[in-house]
Amino acid sequence: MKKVKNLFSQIYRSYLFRRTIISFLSLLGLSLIIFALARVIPGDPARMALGPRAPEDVVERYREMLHLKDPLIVQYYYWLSDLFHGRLGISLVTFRDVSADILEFLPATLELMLFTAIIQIIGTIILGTISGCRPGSLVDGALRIFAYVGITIPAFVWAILFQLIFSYYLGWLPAVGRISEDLRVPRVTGFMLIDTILTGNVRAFIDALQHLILPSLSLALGAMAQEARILRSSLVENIGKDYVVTFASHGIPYRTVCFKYALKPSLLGLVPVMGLDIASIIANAFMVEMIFNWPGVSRYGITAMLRKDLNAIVGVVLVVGLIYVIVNILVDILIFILDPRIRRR
Amino acid sequence: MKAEDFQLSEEIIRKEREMRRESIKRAWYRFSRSKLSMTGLIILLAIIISALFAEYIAPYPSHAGLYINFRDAYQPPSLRHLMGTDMYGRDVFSRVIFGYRYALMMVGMVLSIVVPVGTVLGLLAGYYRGRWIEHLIMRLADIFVSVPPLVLALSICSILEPNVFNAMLAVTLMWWPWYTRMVYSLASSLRNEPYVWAAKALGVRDINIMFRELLPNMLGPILTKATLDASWVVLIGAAISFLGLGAQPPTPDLGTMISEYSAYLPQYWWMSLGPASALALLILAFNFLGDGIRDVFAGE
Amino acid sequence: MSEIETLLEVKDLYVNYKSYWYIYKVLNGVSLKISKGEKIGILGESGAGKTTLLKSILGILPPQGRIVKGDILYKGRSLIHDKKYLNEVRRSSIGMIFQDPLASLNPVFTVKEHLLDVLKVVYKDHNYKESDLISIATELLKEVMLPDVERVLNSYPFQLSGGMRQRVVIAMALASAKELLLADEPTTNLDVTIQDQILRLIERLVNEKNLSLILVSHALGLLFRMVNTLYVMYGGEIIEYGDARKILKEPLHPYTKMLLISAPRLTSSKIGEGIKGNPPDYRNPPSGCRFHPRCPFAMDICKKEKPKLIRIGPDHYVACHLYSTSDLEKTGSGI
Repeated sequence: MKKVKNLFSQIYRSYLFRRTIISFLSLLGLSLIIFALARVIPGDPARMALGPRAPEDVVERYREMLHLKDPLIVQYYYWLSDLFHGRLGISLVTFRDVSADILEFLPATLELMLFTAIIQIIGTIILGTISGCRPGSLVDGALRIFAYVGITIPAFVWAILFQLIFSYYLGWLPAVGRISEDLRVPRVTGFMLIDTILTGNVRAFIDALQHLILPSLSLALGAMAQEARILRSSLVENIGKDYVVTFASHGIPYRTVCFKYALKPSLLGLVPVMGLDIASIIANAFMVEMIFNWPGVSRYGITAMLRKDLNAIVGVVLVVGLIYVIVNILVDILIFILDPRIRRR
Repeated sequence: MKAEDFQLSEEIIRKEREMRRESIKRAWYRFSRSKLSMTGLIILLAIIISALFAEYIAPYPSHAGLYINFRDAYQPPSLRHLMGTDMYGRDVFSRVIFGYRYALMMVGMVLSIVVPVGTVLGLLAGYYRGRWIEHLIMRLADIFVSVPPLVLALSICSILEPNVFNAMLAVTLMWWPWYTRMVYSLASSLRNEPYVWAAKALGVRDINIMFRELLPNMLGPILTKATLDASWVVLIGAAISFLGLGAQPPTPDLGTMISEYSAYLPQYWWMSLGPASALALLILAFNFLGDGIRDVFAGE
Repeated sequence: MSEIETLLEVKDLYVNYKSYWYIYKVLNGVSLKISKGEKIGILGESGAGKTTLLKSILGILPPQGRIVKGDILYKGRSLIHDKKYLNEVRRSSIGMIFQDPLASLNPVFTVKEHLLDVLKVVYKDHNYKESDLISIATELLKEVMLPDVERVLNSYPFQLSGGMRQRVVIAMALASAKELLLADEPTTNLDVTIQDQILRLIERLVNEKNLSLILVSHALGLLFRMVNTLYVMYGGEIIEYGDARKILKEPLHPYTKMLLISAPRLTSSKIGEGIKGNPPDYRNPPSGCRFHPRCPFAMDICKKEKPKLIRIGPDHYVACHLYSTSDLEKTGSGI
């Protein structure tokens, strides 16, 4: 207990706290920029939303409702105070509440991100460690090629490719959606894997898992290839360092030397890179969710963008920014906990 | 200042410059010896030349835009149509070559704005560390890095009008902070090097210190990042048009083509394969080049 | 010398480093011998191959380093060809103190983790419990005169001062060094005031435990005080060796002479006033005697032929064509 309390007081005093504040202030700044951009463009959002044939008095009332006639700064004030009450406004196209929509789609995206992150981390560590501890081996050579393939082929091409191979030709895995249509899973948390467990539906759980594999694999591959390569070169570098060689000089087996003394500092160096990549999954999700028809925030966002649904666009950008910032802060906290050099400073 | 100090300062600066010249020479030598970077360079040059002279190199230049000839539609790859033809009977290979034009234009425009602007801002912020200008620049940069670049670029494209020019504009707007941040951290560590102090002691103007002492010592990382970033710009540009928020059909943009043609998968696989592999090749070339440059400078 | 039991023998060792583009021919036929209880020193500029020599003995060259020729025998058995024996020797016979105490402790493990892992393999056959190992670790730390052992054990390296870190490194080396201690410039990166303390500590421990010692340094006074036999290295070769006092008083090789003359100047404020010229380029080392481009007495033969180590007097050998006149007894490259 005392240890936990200590940790918290350290966090409070550290740069972490400052960075968190700056991150959230940046989000606020982001909202201003996006908001201004969405409002100063030519065109009349109210007219655009209601269509050219709507009667003028209805459009006029709609303008009043959206505060469109007030100066920009006043509009921003209204919008901001709404934001602090958790309201992102009404969709200009569907007239649905944007925050309710986003909340409905958010779990699907988070589930996809989390699953992708797990695949990415495990794959990176396995590939990077094997090839780093045995440079010049077959696995190492294969990784070199895989790394270039992974960097070269964008996530959305992987997505198309996987869908084609694994669901069209081989028929192993489902092509679209989160769950097969004949299965009904009541929504509890919105996370399909958790909901299926909570309702005790094993068949649905396996089905949901199968639906997750292809999208998350296409999201994970590029970053995984790159990270594994970074881990490998960091391991090779660390293995030559005196602080690892020391252990070899005492007759500790190479395997232990590599997997323990070289791996830990290498992994710690990799965490920030990994964190940024994991936070960026949500960006690539914009393409992958479209291809796999995954009912997440990203697909919602693209739909809104294609329809020029301004309130929804602003809402999605802010939520994505929020996720991005939170993941980055979590990574910072993780580094703080894992790395003694930072923790005990 | 005493004459002796004066001499010492001048000597430190002279030695520093000599070393830098030497290291650039060595770097070029090693670059030309590296198979990886030369391969990248050759592929890239080939792509640039074919994009520049697309009208002369593409077998069917008129197929780039709107062109319909249903008799030739859905032809698999052959000697006449290296990558086959699409649903309107257009030669995919010709369209891919024109597609490189858009991809390279995007890279050229984004990097030629982002690199200088980002670098200058980063230099200012790093050199004047602790002053208001640092806070202004870095907090502004923080705003732009608080969301993935692709997402903000997508939304800017959609709020404005989805077309090629706006896509370039959006990516440019997104990209400068990443340079600023890198140059900032380099500058704030280099500003305490002896040669900077020596230059200060000699009364050299700040602007000259920044551009003649600090900047040349960052060329390695900046160049590496620019080359590796070129591949990211290509990728993001393709992603934006893939989602329908960048270039619109019938513009022969690689991303637009992939998205348009993927509807005809798997039967007419060659339509998507052409632009997808062309995209991969361009990204690969930039990566080879970037890795080569990084190795060259890391070897120092 | 030969009546006393020979502990370690390095025989005509060649080591190359391979980088992406070049091959660096670093060690060029080095031979060396140390008997039980003997203390030898290796003197040379940085980049002369001293560290490479020590690392080859324990088989811990970096991955790009390779022994291309020669052998290393410990008590008559090869350390290069018998990996199992090498590990045995690493565990319980030879210990090594690395150059830089900042760099030789792993930044993300505590001192306790360092020591316990080493002790676990050293006492692998003893079936000790962890608490036994901790008490051994405590003993070791007390032996190197560290105060507040409890706190040191739970510290990370960066929480300790340079001197304390080097003491921990020595403690780790002692865990394995039951017969021979290798010390690679153990004081280079320490404050001047601490240097002396660390040296005294090493000296005392070596004497108390009756260890043999190979001490690498470019500090003359230190070598003079602590070793009986001195080897001088230049460009990956042994160019002179013998009784330490004799060499310091009466150096024969031009390089040794220049090294001894330039020594006091190393402390003055002027830069680069040591020996003119640069250490050899190992990618393309000079032909013949590797020192000839910098040697003021270079003759034609120096460019063509590599000089052999010849005996000049009792306990004094030199590899230089200036002394290879026929009236001197030739001994070949062996010892």
